Amino acid sequence: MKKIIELNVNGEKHEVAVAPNQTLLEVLREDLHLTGTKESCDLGSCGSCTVLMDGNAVLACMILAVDVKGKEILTIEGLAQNNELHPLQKSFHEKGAVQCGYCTSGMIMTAKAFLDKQPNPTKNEVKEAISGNLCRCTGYAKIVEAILSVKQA
Amino acid sequence: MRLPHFEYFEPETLKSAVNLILKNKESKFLAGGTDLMPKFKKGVIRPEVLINIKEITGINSIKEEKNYLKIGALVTLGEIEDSPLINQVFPSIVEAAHSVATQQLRNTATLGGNLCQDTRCLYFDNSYLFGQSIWEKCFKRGGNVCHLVKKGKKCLAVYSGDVAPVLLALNAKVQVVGSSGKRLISLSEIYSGKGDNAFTLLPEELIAEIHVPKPKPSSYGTYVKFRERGSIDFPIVGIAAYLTINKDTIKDANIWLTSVGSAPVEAVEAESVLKGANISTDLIEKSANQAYQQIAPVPNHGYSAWYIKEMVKVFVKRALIKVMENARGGQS
Repeated sequence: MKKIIELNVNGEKHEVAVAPNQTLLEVLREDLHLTGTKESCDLGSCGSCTVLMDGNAVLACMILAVDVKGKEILTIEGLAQNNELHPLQKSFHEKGAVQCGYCTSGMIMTAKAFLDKQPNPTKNEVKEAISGNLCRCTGYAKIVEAILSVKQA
Repeated sequence: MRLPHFEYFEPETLKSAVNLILKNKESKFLAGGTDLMPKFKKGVIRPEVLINIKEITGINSIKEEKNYLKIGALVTLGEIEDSPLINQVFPSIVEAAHSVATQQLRNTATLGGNLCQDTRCLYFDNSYLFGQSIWEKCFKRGGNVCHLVKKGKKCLAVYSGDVAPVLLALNAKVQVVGSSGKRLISLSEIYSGKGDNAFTLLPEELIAEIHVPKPKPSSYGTYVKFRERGSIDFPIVGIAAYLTINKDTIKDANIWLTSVGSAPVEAVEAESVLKGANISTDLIEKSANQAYQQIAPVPNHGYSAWYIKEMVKVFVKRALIKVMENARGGQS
């Protein structure tokens, strides 16, 4: 049976009717049409669907939508402010940290949660922080570079 | 992968959670969901009812009491990593929590769930790929054949939680809540040692709190984990060591291993070699050899039992060296 819940996504409140077996990822993509968050393995191994829940990076495919009421969700669509890209988005663009781009939104969300907690990380800390996000194109070098350059900015 | 339909409840008290699970057959508790969801999505398990226990109040905080540190079962592994209190008193718990999976999963996975993580099996966990209907049911599915080890007489699924060995080495207790009320038992009692029925807890029982006794003076602990990649993976073998060292003499030793059997294993022989002895390179070697002799690993990770056994020796040695270095540096 569907239940009506209030979802707080990117600062906007949405009333959505969700079934218990819908994950947060399905509701974000299919009901709210926020398709920036990607579905890949859907089993919690790849990090493509990373979103922030109350500031912590979590996997939207592992969380039931009914369980998210009252929490603040931030997706990749909520990063840019006033037509101005987020520093991480800019640096990913400038450093060429994007190839096919499928992992990028998850990668940026993980990096944001990480930099919010630790604004001055070392290269190894960055590597460890993004170890839950798989990228099959770039070899990670430019992604690490892009995240480190935000720290210096 | 879409989840099949199920009924969903959000009880607000432990009592109503227990009542709900008693009323509904084929139901499961849901907390972090990081162990349950992938299995549910793959159809390896098919609960008809999920009981979300995250709304239950009073079991999601870390409290310091006179003799115990009390950690609520709903505290996430991420919260443990960030807790200044646990970092200060039990850095080995933080090490173990930090070694689990990835940051995203640790932010949702709860301590109670991690301790009750289901045993893993190369066949059972991937049985959705093999067309289960034409195979004879394996032990873990209620049958009496093992598809992993030919002519296997029992289920050989492996328990591979990372935090349990550390808490076991620290002599932690758990508060279990069930239909007959609360009881406080030693953490080691919840592991049955059976692959197909890994926990002694009844289906309606759940862990509410974990009580860790405050460390004895000059005691030092660590957790070392051997795995394929530096992140994400489950352990091939994990070792928790906790020693009480007075000057150069070892007063007490606790060594627990994970991922070598259907329950965490205490390396009793390796401990007894250490107790009362003076620290030396020979002693570490001797203790690691005892662990090597005792442990009979289950080859359920894609590695041979021979290889895991060799690695037990190497990593027990590394764990002991790390603890002794901590002792020299004065870090608990």
